[in-house]
Amino acid sequence: MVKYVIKRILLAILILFGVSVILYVLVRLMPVSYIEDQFIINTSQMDLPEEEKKRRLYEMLARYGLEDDSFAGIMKGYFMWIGNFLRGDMGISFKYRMAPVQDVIGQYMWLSFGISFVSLLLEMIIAIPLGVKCAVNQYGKLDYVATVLCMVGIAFPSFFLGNLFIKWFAVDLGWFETGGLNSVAGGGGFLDTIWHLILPMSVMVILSIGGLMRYTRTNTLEVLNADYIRTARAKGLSEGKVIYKHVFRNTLIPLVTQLSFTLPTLFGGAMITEQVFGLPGIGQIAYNGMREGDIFLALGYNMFLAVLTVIGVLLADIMYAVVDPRVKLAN
Amino acid sequence: MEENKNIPQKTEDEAAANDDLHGENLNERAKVLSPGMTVLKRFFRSKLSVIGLVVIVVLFLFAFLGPVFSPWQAGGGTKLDEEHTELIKELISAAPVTYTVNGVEYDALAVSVGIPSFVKLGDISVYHWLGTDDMGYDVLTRLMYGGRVSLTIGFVVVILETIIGVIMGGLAGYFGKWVDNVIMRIVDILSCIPSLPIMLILSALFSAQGLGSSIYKLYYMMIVLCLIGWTGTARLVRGQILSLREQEFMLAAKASGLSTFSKIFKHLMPNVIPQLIVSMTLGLGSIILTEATLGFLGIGAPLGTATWGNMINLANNATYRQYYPNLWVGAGVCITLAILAFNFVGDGLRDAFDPKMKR
Repeated sequence: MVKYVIKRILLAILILFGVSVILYVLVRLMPVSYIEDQFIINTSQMDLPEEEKKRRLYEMLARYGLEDDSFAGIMKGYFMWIGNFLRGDMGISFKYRMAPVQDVIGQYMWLSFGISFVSLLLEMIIAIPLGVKCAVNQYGKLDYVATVLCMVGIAFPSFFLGNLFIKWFAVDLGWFETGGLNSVAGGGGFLDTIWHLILPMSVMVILSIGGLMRYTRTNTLEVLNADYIRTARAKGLSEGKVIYKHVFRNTLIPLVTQLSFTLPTLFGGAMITEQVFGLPGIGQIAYNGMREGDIFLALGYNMFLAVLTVIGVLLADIMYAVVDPRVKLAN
Repeated sequence: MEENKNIPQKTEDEAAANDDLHGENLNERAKVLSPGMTVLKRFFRSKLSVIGLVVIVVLFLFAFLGPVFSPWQAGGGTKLDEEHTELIKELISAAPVTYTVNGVEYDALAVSVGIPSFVKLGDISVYHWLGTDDMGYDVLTRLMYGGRVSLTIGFVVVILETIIGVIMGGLAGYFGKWVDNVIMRIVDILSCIPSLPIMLILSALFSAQGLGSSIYKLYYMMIVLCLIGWTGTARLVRGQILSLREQEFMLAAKASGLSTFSKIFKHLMPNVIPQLIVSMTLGLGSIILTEATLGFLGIGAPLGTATWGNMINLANNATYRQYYPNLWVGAGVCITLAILAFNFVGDGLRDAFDPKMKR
């Protein structure tokens, strides 16, 4: 087990190294650069010769290893960046008050996490019992209705559903708020924020509940066909006991691993939903940063997502062995 | 409980089989037993998959045949109908201004060149079933042309992804050892790269290369999407081949001295095709969603181009979102319907291919 985990972690480091090279090259190829744009705006009023301006810009970019766009220059910048990254310094976000990227991510991450976490809880509360129920009554009326509704939920694009909800529930009916976090600038209390978050959270729940429910249903069906369920029935257990004690618990095994994969979405923010509802979560912050060429924020955010993905996959494999002792982690 | 439910079904099947055995026509019996026919039969027995198939056909007809019946164009200028030309005439005759310059009288007429403003954001009418958009184009016609782009792109991307995925997954699964190791590490790296941020960067990159106003930008972006999107297919193919290559028929293939190429692509691949078809069908829906997302964020095809994603982009504008739902709801419904239909068909195919499914 320990050997396996160590091997996997080493592999993960290799993967992240590859990801970082690709990301760095791509981000450096980006034609927009926030720092250069700001420099040009700031110096346009100054009475300086062009040569001096160029020299200053070059000096400033050189501080961040961004001065040379040739292959060798990008490689040099990469090692500078990854060196700092490994020491825990993800660079500086030019757009957000020149704060360190890790602070920017840390500051805006928690709103995204809160929304995703509550949505995930709601999803589980609704989807898992529903999935089990549908599987037990396979091809029943409830099964059909729930399956179709789930498929519809999966098929909705988040931006379409979000905009529909804003139009219907926020403007036409006036029940909720169109976006943002507070009705009064500077804060309107915790309840007010919750009020603003109902629509985005319901969008997130509707979009992802289908996947979880269908996954639960498929797994439950598999468990229902297992030999030990037949044994449980044969020894005369009541149907309720069979379902809730024998079926349900075994259904949870694959679900635990499935939940590990949600790690990136949990912390990485929902870029589009946050965009539609104007929420200052990490997704929207990163989106704006990337559009305006905030190089280190773009790099930091993407690496953050990649690290979360790798951890999620690793966690899924380990959890699988933890919840199910029959599984042996070998190679 | 479960067992009891299954029993009547099984007896029905057996009864059907007995009938077949007593049947006179051997050909018919052979037909019934052919695997392809069984899959089709199972597929069409499921209502949802049939609904999905019908929706897909309707969407394709709408996108590819619809414009033939539409008097409007999706871009490059709007044809004015008679009512609108009349309006222009009225406007012209209503507004002559007389100037006197050096003793000579001139009648000046103000004629605006371009799309007349009264056609912009037109209401739903007999002429424009879904109104006209902010550029004065007929929304329904743009939906049709948009469907062409969105649906075509889905197929192209899925086919390309599958080709790359099959080759890479096949090589990894068949050769194993270091080939497998290298390919699977590439797969791991690529599947860790977040796709939406990459699309943002690529969009800026291609725009700077002078592709900003051409539809090719979307095509290039989708090709790059293929280059990072084949990993799922590769994993699927590799997993299947790992188990298949240990089976007896592969030993037979080896014994008869077949080439590696024909062993992989003639003997192993046909066994993976059912899973591939399912994953391709489900993939179509997700590609359409990706295109729509790019359009919504304004980083896909150039904004003037008619695609479903670009049309729903108008919902970003609070005024359009609230007062002109006819501009964007249609596109949203089309996207949702297309994804839903492909998912229905994909699910139906999976169940139909699955030999364990009894129903």
